[in-house]
Amino acid sequence: MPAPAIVTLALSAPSDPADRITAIYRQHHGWLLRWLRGKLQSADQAADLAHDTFVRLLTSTHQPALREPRAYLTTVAQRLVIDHYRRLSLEQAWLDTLAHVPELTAMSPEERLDVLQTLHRIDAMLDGLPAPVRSAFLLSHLEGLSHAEIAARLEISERTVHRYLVQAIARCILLIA
Amino acid sequence: MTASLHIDPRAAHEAASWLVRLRSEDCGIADQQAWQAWRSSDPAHEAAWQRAELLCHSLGLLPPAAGMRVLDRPIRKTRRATVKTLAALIAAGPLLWGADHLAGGPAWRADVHTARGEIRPMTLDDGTRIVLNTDTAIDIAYGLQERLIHLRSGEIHIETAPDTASPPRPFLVRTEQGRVRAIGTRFSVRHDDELFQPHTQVAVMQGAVEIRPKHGELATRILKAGEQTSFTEDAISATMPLAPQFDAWSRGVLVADNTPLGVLLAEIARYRHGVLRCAPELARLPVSGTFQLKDTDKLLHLLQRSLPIRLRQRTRLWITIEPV
Repeated sequence: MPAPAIVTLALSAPSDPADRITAIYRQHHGWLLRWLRGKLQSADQAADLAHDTFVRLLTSTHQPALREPRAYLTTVAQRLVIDHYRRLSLEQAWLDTLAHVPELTAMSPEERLDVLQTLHRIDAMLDGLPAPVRSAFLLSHLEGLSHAEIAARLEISERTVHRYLVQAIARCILLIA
Repeated sequence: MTASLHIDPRAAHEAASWLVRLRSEDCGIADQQAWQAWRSSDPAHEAAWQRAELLCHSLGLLPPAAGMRVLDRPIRKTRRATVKTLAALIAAGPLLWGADHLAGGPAWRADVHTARGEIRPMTLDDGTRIVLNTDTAIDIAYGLQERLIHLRSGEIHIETAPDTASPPRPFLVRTEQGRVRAIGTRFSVRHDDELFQPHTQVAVMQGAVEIRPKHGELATRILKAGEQTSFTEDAISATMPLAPQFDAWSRGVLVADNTPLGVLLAEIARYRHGVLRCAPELARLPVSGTFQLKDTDKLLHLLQRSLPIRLRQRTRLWITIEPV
């Protein structure tokens, strides 16, 4: 049985870092915004992501973030940019799918939102896996194909299918929350 | 917060191997036994396995056709670049992620949780008995001042025991919407995470409880035996008489008494992975009976035999109930 005291400690901030964050904001917001503008189509998006980046800093319990703000901000902003494009491409694919799969039109708006959120989560976990690994995993878990069928579809051996599936699932287990 | 925050990569790999093996067609009893033995041999194994189940649950929420089209879309350059960032961030430590990224419900943070379809009774050190319903996550925090159960998701049935400490500590159940204080009692609490109106339902069988919504400092209410209600962060709904058999789940059964089929299926869906849809014209069909929750596949086939309905199974995880 856990001691509740531990929970409290984990949630309370260490020494109040508000002042330091204000200073970091003043010092770094300008270049971060310029950097983001170079990567994105619109100034609004850049401003949004700069804002999100600082929100991450504020909510981060990761102490080096405050000691080396520039490195931290760049890393976080870089990921937000990539994430932004990944989300765009997923949402585009989702809209295409809604237009092409008739059974989905029966879903309520809430159900659609649920599905879209689940798609985002799974997409983020699978992100970075080689294409055939990703396909093998999806064919097995969404289409319910057997190892032999996946092997035939992807023109790989059944042993490789097995290896790919374990690789994809292990990654998801580490990332899922 | 438990140690399961960090999953041992080796345990993750083993859990993945087990999932692949258990899903293959030639998986036998011996495999299942070996898998159970692996699960119980190390808490790290169990933690990794719980994540594997969570993954299956998430995948089960997707309509397969849509999932394939969206998730298997061609890889772009931007995706490749993510690999490096991801690796850097994992190396930097998981806290850097921010809790909202990849967030998939709070189950992994909880001390105790049940998978879909699982109903688990447990007895705490002080003799209090708790039954966790399907897909439920709780933290148990007994301190010097209070006995606190944090209901993160799902539903629990509680029979409090007199406190062993002196003076006796209050027994509290907290949800996102507020808290419920038990007054020598048998009651159940359900957290309903509806998109637009998340709320907590409370039902009292014995004794009484006091409800206090998170933002409703003045709006406390005592709920007595035989009463039920629900509350949001701000307000408590009207008190209603207890619905008969509403706690039948804690005995592993579902009781329908002229229950509309749509309502019954929504309840059954809580115990299953995947999508269970009901044709709108069947939603009001009244159903009566007592059903075992242990095997919902069997339950659905039983319904098919006794009602003018047909199960259409698009895939294992996508079932539509249609008129004959």
